[in-house]
Amino acid sequence: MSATALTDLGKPSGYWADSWARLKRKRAAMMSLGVIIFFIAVSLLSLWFTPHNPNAQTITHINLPPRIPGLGWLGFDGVSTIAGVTQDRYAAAGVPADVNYWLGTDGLGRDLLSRLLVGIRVSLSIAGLATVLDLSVGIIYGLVSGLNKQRVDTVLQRFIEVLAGIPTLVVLVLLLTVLSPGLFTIAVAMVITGWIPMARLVRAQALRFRDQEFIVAAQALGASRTWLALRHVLPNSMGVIVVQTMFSIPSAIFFEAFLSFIGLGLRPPMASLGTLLNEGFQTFTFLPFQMLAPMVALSVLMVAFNLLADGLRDAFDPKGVGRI
Amino acid sequence: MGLAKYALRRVVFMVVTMWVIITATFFLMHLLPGSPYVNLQKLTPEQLEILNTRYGLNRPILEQYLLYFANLLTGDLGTSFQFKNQPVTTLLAGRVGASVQLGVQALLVGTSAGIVVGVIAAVKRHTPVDSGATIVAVLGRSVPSFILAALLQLVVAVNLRLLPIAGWRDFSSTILPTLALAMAPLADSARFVRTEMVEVLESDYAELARANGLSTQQIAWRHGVRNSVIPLITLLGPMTVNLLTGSLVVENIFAVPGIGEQFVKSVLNNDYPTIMAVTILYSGLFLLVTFAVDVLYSIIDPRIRLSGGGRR
Amino acid sequence: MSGQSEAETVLSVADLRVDFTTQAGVVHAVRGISFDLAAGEVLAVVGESGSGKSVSARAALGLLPGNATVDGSILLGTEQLVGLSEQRLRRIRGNDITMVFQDPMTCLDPTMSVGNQIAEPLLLHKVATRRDVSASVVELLTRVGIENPERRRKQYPHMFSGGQRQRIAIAIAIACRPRVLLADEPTTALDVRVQAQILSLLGELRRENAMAMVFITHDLGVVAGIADRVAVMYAGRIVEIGTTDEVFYHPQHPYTWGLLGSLPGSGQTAAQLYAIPGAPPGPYAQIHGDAFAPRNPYAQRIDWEQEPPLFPVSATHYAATWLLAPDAPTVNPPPEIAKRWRKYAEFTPLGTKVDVS
Repeated sequence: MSATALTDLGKPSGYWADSWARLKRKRAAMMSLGVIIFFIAVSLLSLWFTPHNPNAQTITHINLPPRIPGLGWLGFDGVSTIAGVTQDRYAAAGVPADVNYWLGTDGLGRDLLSRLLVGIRVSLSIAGLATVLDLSVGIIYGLVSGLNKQRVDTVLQRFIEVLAGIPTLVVLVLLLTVLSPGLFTIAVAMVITGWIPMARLVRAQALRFRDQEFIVAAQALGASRTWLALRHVLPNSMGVIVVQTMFSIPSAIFFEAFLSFIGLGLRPPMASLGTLLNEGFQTFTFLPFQMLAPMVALSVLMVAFNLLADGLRDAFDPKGVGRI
Repeated sequence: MGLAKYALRRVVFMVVTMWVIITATFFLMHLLPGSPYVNLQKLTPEQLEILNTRYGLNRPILEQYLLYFANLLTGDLGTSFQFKNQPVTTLLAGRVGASVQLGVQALLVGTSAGIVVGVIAAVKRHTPVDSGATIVAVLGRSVPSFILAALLQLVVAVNLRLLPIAGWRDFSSTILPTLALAMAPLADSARFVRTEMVEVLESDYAELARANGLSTQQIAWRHGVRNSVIPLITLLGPMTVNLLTGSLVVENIFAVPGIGEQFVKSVLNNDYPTIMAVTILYSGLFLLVTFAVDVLYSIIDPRIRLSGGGRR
Repeated sequence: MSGQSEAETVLSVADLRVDFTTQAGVVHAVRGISFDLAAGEVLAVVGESGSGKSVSARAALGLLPGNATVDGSILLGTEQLVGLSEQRLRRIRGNDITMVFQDPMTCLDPTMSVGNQIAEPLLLHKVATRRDVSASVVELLTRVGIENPERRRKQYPHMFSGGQRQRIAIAIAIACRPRVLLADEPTTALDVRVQAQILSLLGELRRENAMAMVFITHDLGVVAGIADRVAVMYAGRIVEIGTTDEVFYHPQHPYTWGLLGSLPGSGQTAAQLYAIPGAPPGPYAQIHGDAFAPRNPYAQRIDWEQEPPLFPVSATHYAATWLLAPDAPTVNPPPEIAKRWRKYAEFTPLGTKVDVS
């Protein structure tokens, strides 16, 4: 990786262009990128538009199965069989013909599609926030550790070594038992151990670049350490940083869903992929559609992020030097 | 050689890490805003006083800390708030078995299936078989175990009625939770083994073996497996952590009377002593596994191992 | 066999061509080579990297990657190896024909004891049974000069030096007493002293087992001691082939002149060394005329237009250079080569053939 970065120093745009060209050749990664952009777009859109009010409880419209006009033949016809009785639930509930719940409604009569859109946005926000925090803490820590005197570096690395011994799960559970769970607290809890891989990576990059000629030359010209870090080490590490970031996003999405699912994360009525799964699971065996939609959404997101991360790693690091 | 010194250094770090974890856990737990008593409103101040005295909650926090530490060293993890008078140690001891069995089963099933999938994918590189294996690996890595657990429960247990929905009675009731937990190690090891195996198949010694009449299959099983499975040991650490995480939900979904299920219950009920105990248990397990893996690896790999001797 | 002058031919290569289809185009790695190998004979194949020598050897074993197309004929005894089924090839590999590779540090499985690795072909080709295989392993280790074989067969490759590992690789190769051993630069990665030991080991084994050997190298220097005949390859073709004496002392091809001229220790100072200017054609280069023409100070117009055939120099000696054409102008080889020619003339007073117009 560094070799590529170094040879292309003069024209960093070439490095990015090359990587992009390599990425474009990976169909799975490009499709994943499309899926992710789509998810981000609809979740952003849900700020202004959702098919129904995601929090409005319509008591008469509870537990309605999905109905999508035109897709009735695919099973989205609002008909379901419970305890041997097949029935058009919409008719039974007296729902007007022009009111459709594409993904059905939950036990409180809320539109599941609207809740899913909001839920995706909340989950992505938590993941995004956690990742940004991971990035900032990790990069600063890594640069400070890598570019500082030996003794400072040693102390900082010892600290990391101790922290890395604590399982993320334990940290998350402890913190969320103490802090009242919310979007911000969950993200912060994830950062406690989440920044470590990034810090290690950036430090390794800093150590690698520290003795390179252009760094020594810059030092000879009187460049400060901060200048070196910002002007040289960071830009040359962008590739690996991007790849690492891409791997930490799905992990953050997973942990949010996990925590909310076991009841430690966000609490209803707040919607997130985790709380939707949690609510859906209560009735999963007889109203599976309530859980299936968030299941599919979460799985697709996870797959897309993982595939994109794989693709990016191959694109930025074609020779596999930076692999573990 | 340096192994003893290395091991010693690691042990020191483990002890420090454990101390940090125990201390942090203790103080976090005692900053908890929630009350440990389920029916706080119904308690009279006198009753509360009695309970606080019994659990030592009215002493200075530092004293509680030192006391906890002293008890911990003797294996006393305190008394559960949830189940009156039941020591945490007893509570957890009764649940370790199920969790260990589930974890070991999942790890064995997952890694052995993963090795087979990885080897086949590498041998049949760039064929539909390989693509299929890649898809399995990506799904296994991406789809959380609790989603898989719920799906298995719905399809296999509820709809097809092939296996018990939940519980922990006979072997058949362990199959679904095992499968749900096994997918992640399966995916991880398949992916890892495939990468390593491709490297082996392109290696010089594979070529020498080929020049002497071995087929690709034979090279894969005779040379490839040893060369890719030995470094697979290094994945055991992360795999264990994932299993622990997964076990919390999977045990809940399938009502497995294990540590994970207890942990979730305790967390939701503010049962500090149990939360602390499980925290310590998990951290200790994680540290031990990572340590054991590193030491084991340097012992097993003949490239690192310094003393000779055959294995068969 | 070794006593006979006309030994049977064990390997006969005729018009072998190997192409690789890659994304960037087709690479003509081997462009029609032919040679015969008699039982117990050692043919050295000399050439720069990329000249097609290793590819030819791998073609014989069917070890080329999937994007290679092999044309022509490779007869092992009476068996046609080109186009042979993988299954049949596997039975032949190790049994009748085998290969030793360049890098002894990577050619053994690091996680398997060397004894088990030597046992592998023995068991595979049913030369030994599980019960008596360890005796055979000890015997082979002894044969290739590993001391303490009883103990050392249980050790792992990292406990052996580079030279010892190459000995072990040779033990694996000769385990089933193949008729032909293809040695692909087996001494290149070793230091000079060990090189000599491995060379003499190969020489002994070949005499003992009447094993024919194709010895591939880029270093003409190591050839003299071991080879009966030498083939010089350039850009996928054999440009000169003859007995070792003929190629060393009566070379005809300017490329051979260059190789010989750049040998150290020929009594010349560095300045006098005859170096070949330029570089060989790249893998995707379009070759017009003689591939060597751009680097050939003796090139004539025809060199740029037409590829020279192999002109006979003697019954055993051929060279593909237009300098041997009947109407070619007489050129004076570089002084170092002229000296070799004079030596050659002393050894062969009859001055037979030499119709170098």
